[in-house]
Amino acid sequence: MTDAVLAANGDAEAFERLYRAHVARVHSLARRMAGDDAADDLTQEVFIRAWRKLGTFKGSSSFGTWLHRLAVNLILSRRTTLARHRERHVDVEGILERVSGRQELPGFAMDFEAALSRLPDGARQVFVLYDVEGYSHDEIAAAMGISTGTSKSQLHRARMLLRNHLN
Amino acid sequence: MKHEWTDRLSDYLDGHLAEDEAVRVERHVEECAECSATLEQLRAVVQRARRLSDREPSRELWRGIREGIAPDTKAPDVIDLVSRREIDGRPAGRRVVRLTIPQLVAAGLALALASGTGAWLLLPEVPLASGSATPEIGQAVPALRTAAGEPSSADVATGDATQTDELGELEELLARHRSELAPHTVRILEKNLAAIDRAIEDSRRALAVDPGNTFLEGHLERARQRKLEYLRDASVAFQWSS
Repeated sequence: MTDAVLAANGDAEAFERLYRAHVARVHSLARRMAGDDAADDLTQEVFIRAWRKLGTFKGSSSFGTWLHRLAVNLILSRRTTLARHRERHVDVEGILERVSGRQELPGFAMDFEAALSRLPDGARQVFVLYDVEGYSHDEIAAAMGISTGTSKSQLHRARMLLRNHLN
Repeated sequence: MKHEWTDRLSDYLDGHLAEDEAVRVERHVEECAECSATLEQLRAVVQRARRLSDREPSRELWRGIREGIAPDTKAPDVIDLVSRREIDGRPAGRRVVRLTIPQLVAAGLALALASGTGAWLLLPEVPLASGSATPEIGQAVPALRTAAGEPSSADVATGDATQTDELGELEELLARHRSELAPHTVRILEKNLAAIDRAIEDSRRALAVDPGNTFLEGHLERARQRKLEYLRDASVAFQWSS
């Protein structure tokens, strides 16, 4: 019997094993999509939600794929609240511009992940879903409520901003 | 310098251009050193993204999850007000957030408008068959395409018991502190909450007719979330405490 089946039947130890196996991926997704500050809370929400929804996991895909879809949906559903939080606390565009300016200085190399975290929300989320996670523009557009054209242009914007931060 | 094809280089890289367009990009890139360099940089970004490795969280999260899945434990997707203030970067103590009445009115009108728009979207005459035109920004957020058994938006869209619990607690707070507020403030709060409640009720009724409709489920969730956030904000603004 798989851990997913055991967990679906209420086995918390099996669910902890699933958590240990998948937490890095979920947390990294949350961190890249929503930022460091929100990643821990979102990760906990994802796993608690997964626990409650395990009954709907039919095993037609891997547990990891199922969990990942759930995580993406949950993170996107929180993005309005998260964006407000980021707007209040981070001058995203300003920082990016300043960092881009500093990039011209010799010897300055910014970590790619750090540069990614400083992208504008829309561009960052599309970039993560498309280039990191492998979703299609159609899927991203449907999930984010944008057109595929917007998804493509946000992706290009993100790549253009990130190209100065390759290390 | 930006050239005619600069903005299409990602589309080219991803194979999203028609054959004739791709040929024109290739010709341009052969002749333009700048676009050629940009294309290589974009290619490198894509490769770098694919090499990103996952990282464990820096602190142990399992304990909170374990508590959250215990049958007698309040679920953590309801963030208590103290935690929420900490998340928002506000101290958990007695930080005063003062809203002027005009600010409150403006927020209320915006909310009522949003709720009204939502209710309008729920009218059965609005064609929202799946597979229709691509939704624009601000329209419904359907789920990612799902295979059988994978979570759809319904998984995050259906209000759950814990959300209901927090809503109940916040409504109780409002009732308890109602007498402390000026009458016109109470009117504004109640008017906005009534608008949200109408949107929630409309969504529920529509779902009763069309169960499983992910658009409607998403709308219901957003309306419930809107109410939750409104009440949370009010509780912080007026410093309500249990």
